[in-house]
Amino acid sequence: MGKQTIIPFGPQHPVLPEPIHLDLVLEDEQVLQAIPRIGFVHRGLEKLAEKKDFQDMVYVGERICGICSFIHSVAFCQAMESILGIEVPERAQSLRGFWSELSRIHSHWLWMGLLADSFGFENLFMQTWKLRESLLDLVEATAGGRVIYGSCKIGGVRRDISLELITQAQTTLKALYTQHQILASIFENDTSIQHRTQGKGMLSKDKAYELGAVGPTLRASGWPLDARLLKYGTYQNLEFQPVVETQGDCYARMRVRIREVDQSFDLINQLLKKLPDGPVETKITGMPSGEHFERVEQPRGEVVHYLKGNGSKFLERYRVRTPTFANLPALVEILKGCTFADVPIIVLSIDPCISCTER
Amino acid sequence: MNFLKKSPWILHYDASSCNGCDIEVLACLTPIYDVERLGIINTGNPKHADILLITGAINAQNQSVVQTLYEQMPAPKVVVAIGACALSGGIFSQCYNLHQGVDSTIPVDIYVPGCAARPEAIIDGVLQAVACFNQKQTIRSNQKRTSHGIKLDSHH
Amino acid sequence: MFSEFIQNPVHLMSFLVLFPFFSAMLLAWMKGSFWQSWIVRWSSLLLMLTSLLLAFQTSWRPHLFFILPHLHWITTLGDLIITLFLFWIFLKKGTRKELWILSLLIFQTIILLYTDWVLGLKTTPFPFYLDSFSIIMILIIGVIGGLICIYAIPYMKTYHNHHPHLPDHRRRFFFLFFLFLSAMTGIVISNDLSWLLLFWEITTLCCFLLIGYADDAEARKNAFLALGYNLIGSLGIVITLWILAEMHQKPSLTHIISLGKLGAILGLLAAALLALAGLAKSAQLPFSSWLTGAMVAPTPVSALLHSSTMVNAGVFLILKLAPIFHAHIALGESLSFIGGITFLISSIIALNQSNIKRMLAYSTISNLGLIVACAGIGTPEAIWAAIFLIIFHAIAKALLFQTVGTVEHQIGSRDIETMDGLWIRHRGLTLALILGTLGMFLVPFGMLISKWACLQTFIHSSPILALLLVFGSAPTLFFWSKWMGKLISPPSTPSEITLDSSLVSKDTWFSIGMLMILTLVACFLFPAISHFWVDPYLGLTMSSLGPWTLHHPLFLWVTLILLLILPAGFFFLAPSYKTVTPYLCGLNIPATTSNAQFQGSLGQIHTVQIRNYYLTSYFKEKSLLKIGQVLGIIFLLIMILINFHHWKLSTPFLPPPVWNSNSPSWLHLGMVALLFFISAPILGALLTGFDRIVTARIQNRYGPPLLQPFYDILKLWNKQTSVVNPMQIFYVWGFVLFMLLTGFIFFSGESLLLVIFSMMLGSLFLTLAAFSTPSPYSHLGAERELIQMMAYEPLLLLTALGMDLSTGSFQIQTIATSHYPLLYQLPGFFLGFLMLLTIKLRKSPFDLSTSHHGHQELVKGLTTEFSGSLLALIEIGHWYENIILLGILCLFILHWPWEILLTVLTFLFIFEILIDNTYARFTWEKTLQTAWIVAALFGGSNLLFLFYYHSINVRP
Repeated sequence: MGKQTIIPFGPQHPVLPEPIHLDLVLEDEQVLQAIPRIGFVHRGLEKLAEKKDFQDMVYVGERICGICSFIHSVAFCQAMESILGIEVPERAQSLRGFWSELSRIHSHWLWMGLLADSFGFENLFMQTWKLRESLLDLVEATAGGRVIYGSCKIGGVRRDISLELITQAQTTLKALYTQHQILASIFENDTSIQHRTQGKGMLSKDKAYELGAVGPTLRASGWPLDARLLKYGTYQNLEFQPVVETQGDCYARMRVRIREVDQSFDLINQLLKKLPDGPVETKITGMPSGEHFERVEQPRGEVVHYLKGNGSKFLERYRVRTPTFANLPALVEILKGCTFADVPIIVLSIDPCISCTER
Repeated sequence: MNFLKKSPWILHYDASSCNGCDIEVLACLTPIYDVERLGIINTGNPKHADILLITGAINAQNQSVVQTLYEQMPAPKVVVAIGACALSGGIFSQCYNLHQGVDSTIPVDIYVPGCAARPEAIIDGVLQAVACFNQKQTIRSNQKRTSHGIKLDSHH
Repeated sequence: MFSEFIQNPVHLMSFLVLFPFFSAMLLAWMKGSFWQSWIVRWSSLLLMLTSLLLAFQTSWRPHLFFILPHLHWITTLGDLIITLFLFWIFLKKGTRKELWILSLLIFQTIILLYTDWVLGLKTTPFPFYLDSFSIIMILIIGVIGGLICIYAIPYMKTYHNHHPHLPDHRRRFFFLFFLFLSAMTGIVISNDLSWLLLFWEITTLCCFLLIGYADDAEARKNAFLALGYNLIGSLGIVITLWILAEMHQKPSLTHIISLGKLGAILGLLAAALLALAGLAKSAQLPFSSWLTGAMVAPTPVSALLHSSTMVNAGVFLILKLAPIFHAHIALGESLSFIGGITFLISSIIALNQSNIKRMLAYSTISNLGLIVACAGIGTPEAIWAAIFLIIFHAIAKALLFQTVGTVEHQIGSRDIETMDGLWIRHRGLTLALILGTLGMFLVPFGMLISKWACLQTFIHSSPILALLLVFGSAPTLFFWSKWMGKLISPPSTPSEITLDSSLVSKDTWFSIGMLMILTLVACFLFPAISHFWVDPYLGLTMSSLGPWTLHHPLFLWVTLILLLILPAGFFFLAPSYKTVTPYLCGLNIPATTSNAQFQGSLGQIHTVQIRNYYLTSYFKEKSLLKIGQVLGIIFLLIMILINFHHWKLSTPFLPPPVWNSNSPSWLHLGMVALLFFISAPILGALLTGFDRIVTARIQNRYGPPLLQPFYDILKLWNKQTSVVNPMQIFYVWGFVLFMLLTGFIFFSGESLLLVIFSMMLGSLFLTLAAFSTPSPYSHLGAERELIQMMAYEPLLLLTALGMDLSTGSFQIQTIATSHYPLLYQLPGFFLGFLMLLTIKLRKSPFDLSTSHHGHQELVKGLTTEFSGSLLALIEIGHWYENIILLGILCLFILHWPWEILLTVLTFLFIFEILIDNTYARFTWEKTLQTAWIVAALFGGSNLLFLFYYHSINVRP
């Protein structure tokens, strides 16, 4: 059969919150080929490091992506602190952990909602995002922003949270945890969701490793790898095991994220229980000179921030390898042979963050 | 009566936003903000939309996309630029790849500031855009009256 | 002298047999293409005129017999000559693989000679007869066959220009054509089986030689296949002759029929064997592969085989024997099952075909299956339906094959995928193709009228057949519609745009034009055909008349007239619009406006290409064919062997549907129309508003005001209308108009089946609207919409069937005034209808083709390319549709007090919304599967239960 359907998918497409383009070659609804094209969101912000003061670059770093914003700033700050040789106070580290995990929960809920929307389950989308709003209120109360927190700075954090707020947070989180369990059971047990996700977008254990997948995409294929195991920051004091699934399909990736939300609740609990007292920032001295390579676990997987200073207030080089960039080869692999209706689900299943990828 | 006021349908396009404003646009649809109570629907299709919401600044790659989407929307139409980047490039205005704000490419009617713009601000922006329609509708009906009986399409 | 000649049907009839034979001889003898064309043209015209004359001469005389003594030796001689000729060909061209055919030939000859010379056949006093069924067949053979001959003149010229390496055997070709027509006429007037056998063998031989015309390996292989299968068939006739001779019976058809009606084993067995011959000839399972193989022949041959000759001979013979099948249910049922299974399986297989001729071939096989099924049922209504199927099928198929052949010569391919944009490239031919296609499956046209009659008949005689019919018509809808979609979609590359229409010769236009006119005229005149030719035949054989309900074709005519004036209205009433580029996710290349191009991932420029769906991942031709063949063989054996057993099966026929003859007054109709026109959109909008509020509340939102849908529509109406292709406007208006018409039909209490067919026509217009754009998303939406239609059509038809079984009528008037809520008798259908409602209301999990939710992989699917007033119209059309569907839902529970009724309806509506909010969207495979399983399980079991329940109650 000579003729095949060739259609554009994206950059503007209702199921894609962010612009990415795929050339889809179809036969009936079978995807024979999917060639991605990126660059619609490229800003070139790494180059800004040459024009902006390294302390201002924290803001730019945080705006690499509005969903994983806080953890980007954490990664940048940690890298910078290593170059400058600054010791971050323990309370600041814990608070960074607190906000990181909150942002992970927010990101995963956001993703769960989008996934539900991609397979046409509008109600579930609404319910998940409703839950997410309650979490955003908590974030706003503690960090001051909804999606861009702006509370992380080199040498610590910008604001402390009161004991009263902590108790309030604990109660809120408890309630949210219960509601999450209800949502989780729908996501995991609904037959129509299983019909749309199970066996779709299979990524085998070997392929996942070979293609360099990271984060939940990697863990859903059976690898217990998580950058938080590096015990950076507050994670040295916390107990946790990476969430692992073995099937490697969209359902497994969904489960990993759902369980990671549980895990984040647990981590926050641990963290708030033994929140140390003390200052939340130290003074920055000197100019960055030397380079550092920082690995941090984002909701989407491991992110790498590479910084090189030359003794001036402008960095010489700033480079970010984001998790979605690492997951794209895996995406191209799992899109082959799927059906057109599954394309949005499979694309979403790696939780793509195009803004991260293209910076 | 102008029914555009009662049923403004939107098309959202993420030009080169960091996602911050995007997820806030999406959040407007969800239960806490629920813009459908104002008759607003997120169509995802330029041919159905009345209001184009653009987040993020224009870059070399997406300039033609934004233009095409704008052209494909049927008149009358209104553009709302959302967030600092869409206004002027924001924090990224110095980036080598950016053409600054959305108004560098298509005419913008309403500017919604913020980084990220809050849902309340976005809803307010949309409602102000709706008010814009009144003027546009009048202009359009005047045009229609003058070109009555002639197909609007020159290509045909 | 001359006037005496033309007034005597015997002379005319003999002329019709002998004259083509004479022309054939002349053509074999004459050289030079001028004389050849001249003879063909004028002989065909004469043939057409004579058959028309004969038809008018005899329309008042039901039955005529002819005496023809002392010519019996011709049959034996003819058979021997044919055998020797085939033997010779075999030695020349045959291979080892075809040895079974040779042995078949030898075996057959031995039996025949034994019968003739050793046993000695009794002669029939009246070897020929003429009844109105024969007249109809003669008309088909004469008129359509003649037109095909005329068509073949230019076609063969071009054919040889295109294939210079082939030797020019046109003399032989036309000789065979006319011989074929002569023999076909012989078949339809033969009463004596030995004459029948002679003509039968001549057609087989002609068919064999015509298929092998190209004389390459493939043609030869397929020609031998056709020969082999047809010889199996004629073995049936030969054995019948032998048995009759052994039993010292007259070998005449009338005698066999009277024997069979009495239930004599001999008669039954003969009927079964003759049916075998008919099945092989009309390419029923398990013999179907010869007809698909015959596609290697030049197109006029296909046209001839499929419409006026060959396959028709098979169904003609079977239909002749219908009185026997009617009297003997076991024999008739097993025959019907072969037909029914063939209908279902070959229409599913046709989904897979991208070669247009193969698709047409499978469609022929499936329609012949339907005719066979009707013959197996054998009630007067069934025969009525079958005869009309033969008529309309012959016209439409001849038209389609001829046009396809012309198109093939123009674009150099018979692949459906190369036919995109044919509407722009060649208007005339596309119009012919569309008319032929409409004729095959849409409401005001013939095939659908016959299918309608089939449904009415089957439901009262064999519920399983009704199920087969219901499931088999759904794929039909799909493959025709998607082909039409391809034809009207814009071409993918601009270079293909122009075709030289001067290359289509006058002969071709004459033939195609005549057939187009015939398609339309037959629709208008079918009551006349029924009255003058079909009813007399039924009166003669069954002492009964055709289905009454179809004698009042008011709404059919209204539909047809609407279809005809719609294009005119479009040209005068087109709104102002702006042409824009199609939606390509914003990646359109600015320079192009006419066709869709976008910048691909690797920087290259892609032109949007859209391939139709062939569902090959779901339905597989090979395995389906295998299943069909096995089932065919099983039922074939049952059909023959069952006659040895004396089963006294009583006939569970239910009384035919009641026709409520008090037709409503014009004033009443007008009021209903006006009321529906005004109130349905208001009600529909309020329902949508209610839906949106309830949905919002379920989702913990506040939701829009109740009147929001009005605001939306009014806003859209005032917006600029932008289109990609101005034709969109036409199709959208078609959608709305036919939804309106459907509403009128429904609320004026007409037949529920007509409502369904008309609704399908409306829905089809919507998909065509999407197909007419070069936009990939609306195309995929249209394909998915067709899949959805294929999924829910069985549910819809079953609902109508169930209501008919319960109330004894398809008339909505009668159904609505039943003495009890139908729900009590039709719970299965009710559940099925709820599922259908979920699909039609575009609720998740079945919102495949377009969705109320913004986020879908197809963007907005069907409606992607519509804006402004067109979008408003589509929405209004949907409201009309929803009200009609809710109306049908009401029929289930109409007998309850209105407050309970309203409560139940509200509850059901909220239930649908709840479903919408608790499911993820299914894939199309799952949708189709679910819908069909629900239809088969709930609908089917309820149908069977009801049928047997009623048949027990009806029996005294």
